[in-house]
Amino acid sequence: MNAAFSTWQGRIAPVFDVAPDVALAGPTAAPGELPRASLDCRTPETILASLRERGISVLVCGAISRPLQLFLASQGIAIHAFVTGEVAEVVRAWHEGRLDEERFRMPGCGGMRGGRGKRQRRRGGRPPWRGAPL
Amino acid sequence: MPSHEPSCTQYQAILESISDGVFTVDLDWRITSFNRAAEEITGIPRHEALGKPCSEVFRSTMCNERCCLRETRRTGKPLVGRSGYIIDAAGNRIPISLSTAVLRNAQGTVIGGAETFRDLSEVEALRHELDASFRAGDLVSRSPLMQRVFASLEPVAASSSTVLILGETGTGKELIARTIHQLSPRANGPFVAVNCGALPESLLESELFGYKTGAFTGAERDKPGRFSLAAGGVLFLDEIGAISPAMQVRLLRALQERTYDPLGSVRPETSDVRIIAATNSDLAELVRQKKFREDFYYRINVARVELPPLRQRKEDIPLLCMDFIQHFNALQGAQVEGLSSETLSLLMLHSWPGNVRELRNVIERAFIVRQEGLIEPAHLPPDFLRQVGHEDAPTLQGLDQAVKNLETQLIRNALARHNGNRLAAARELGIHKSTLFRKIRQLRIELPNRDGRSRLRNDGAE
Repeated sequence: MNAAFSTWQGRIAPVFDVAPDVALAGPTAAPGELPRASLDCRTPETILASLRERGISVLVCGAISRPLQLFLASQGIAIHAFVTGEVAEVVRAWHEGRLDEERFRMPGCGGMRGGRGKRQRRRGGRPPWRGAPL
Repeated sequence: MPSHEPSCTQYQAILESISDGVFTVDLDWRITSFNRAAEEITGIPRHEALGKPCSEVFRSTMCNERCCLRETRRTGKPLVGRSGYIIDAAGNRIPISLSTAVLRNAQGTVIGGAETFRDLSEVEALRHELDASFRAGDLVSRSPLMQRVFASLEPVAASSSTVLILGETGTGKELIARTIHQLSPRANGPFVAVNCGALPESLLESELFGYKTGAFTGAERDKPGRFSLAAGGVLFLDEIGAISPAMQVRLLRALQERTYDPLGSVRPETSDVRIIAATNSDLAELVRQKKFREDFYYRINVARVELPPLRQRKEDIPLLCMDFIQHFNALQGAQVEGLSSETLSLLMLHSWPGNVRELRNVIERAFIVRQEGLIEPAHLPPDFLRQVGHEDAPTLQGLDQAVKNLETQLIRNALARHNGNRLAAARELGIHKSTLFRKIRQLRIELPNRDGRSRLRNDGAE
C-alpha cells in the first residue's frame, strides 16, 4: 500500500486541487528524501492515472474539492483530506496510524474528515459545484 | 483639540461591520487578525484561525507559488481583484475575489500583510441563472444540435433505463453521463466510472465484480468491485465497444438478472446500479461484423444520446473558450481577459479532431505563457499552429499573415493530393482555376515539376 502526500514548502500543501506534485511513501518507513511525482495537466482523470501509474492507493492531502475527492474515492483511492503539518511528521503518523490526531487537522475541520466539517454559512445555500466543461 | 483619527477600537468596529473577509498576517505568514466576515465566508471560527499559517486557513487556489500576499510583499504593490476559489471544510469551492496590501508600522517597517476577500457565490449563481439556457450540468453550448441533446437529458435521467452515449473522443461523454446522474433520482448515490478499454479482460472482471479472499494468489482479503461501489447510484462504462464477448455475457447477466458473481464467490450478489455506457465505436457495425453481441447491444441501447463533434458546432467555440478561461483564471489566479480576434479566427479554422478536450488543452497550454490580457495567436501551442497551417508560428503577425499561411498550406496539400494538377486542385478547393493561379503567384507557392496533366498523358501513352 503506497501513499502520496501532497506537499508545499515542507508541509502538506494547503490545496490539493492545485498542488503540482506529490511525495511518495511505501508501507514502511524508509530513510532519506521521499521520491516525488508530478501531477501535470490536472484533470481528475490524469491525476488518477498519475497515482495509479505509481501504485498509489492512499492520498494524504490538505483541502480538496468535493468533486475531485468523490471521483478519486470512487476509483478506489483512500483519501485522508484536510490534513496539515510538516511532511515528515505526517508521513510518520501515517505509518503509525496516528493521522486522526487533532494536530494534523486543518483549522475549521471540526474533527470530521472528508467533507463533514462544521459550517457557518450565512446566506442560504451555496450553488452546486460547477467545474469547467470537459 | 480632539483627534479626528479613528482609534484602534474604531478600526476594529469597522472591520467587524463590513461584509468582506479581512485577515492580517505577520512576517511568518501566521494569522494575526480575522474578522467576522472572514469567519462566515470560510466557516472557520476566529480562535481556530489565529496563529495558524494563512494558507492552511484560507485554502485558496492561490495558496502556492502564486500567493498574492507574497507577491505584494516582494513588490511592495497592492493587488486588487484577483479571482480564485477557496475550499471550505465541506469541500465546497467558494468563488472569491481578493486584494492584498503590505502592513507597516509607524516607522514604515513592513510588519506583515493584509488580505481582503469577497464571496462571489451569489454573483456566480446569478451568472449561472443568466446563462442557464446554454448549460446542462457542466456542459455549455448554444448549438441547436446540443440544445436537442440538452432537452433529452431530463427525460432520460428521470427514467431508470440503461443509457448508451455515442460520440467521438473528447466530445464530453463522461460529462453527459455525470449530468444524467446529477439530474436523476440516483443523484445522491455514487457515480463510478470505469474505462473498459484501459484494462485487460482479467483485470476488468475483478474491477467490475470484485473478488473474495482466496479467489487467486494474492487475494488476501475481499475486494468490492465497481458494481458494489456504485450501489444505489450509477456505473459509467466508457469504451464499452472494447470489451470481449465473454465480458459482454457477464455484463448482460448483471443487467438482465440484476445479479453478478464476484471472483471466488459461491453465491451471486444483487446489483442496484444504473448503467450508462459510452463508446466512440460504431456498435451497430461491430454487431454486423459479429464482434459485438447483438443481445448485449440491444440491452444497452435503450435510451440513446448522440453527441455531435465540435466541428459540427463551431459556434460554441467562443462560449467554450470563455468558460475555460474563467475556469483556468480561477484555478491559477490568472487574469486572462479573453481571446484576440485573430486567435478566435484561428480556432474557428481548425477541424478539432480531438473535439472539446483538444480545445480545452489548447487554452490550458496558452495559460502557460499568458496569465493576463488577451490570448494572441503567438500564445497558442506551436503544434496547434502548425496543424492550422502556421509553420512559422513564432513569427506570426496578425490575421492577414494567418490567413496567408493557411491558404498556402491548403493549396500545397490540394496540389499534392492531385499530383500537381491545378485544375483538379482548384475544383477541390472550390475556387476558379484563375483564382488558384493568382494565389499561387501571390503566395509564391513552388509548384511540382510535373503538373498532373503530363502524368496523365504519359500514363495514357504507356
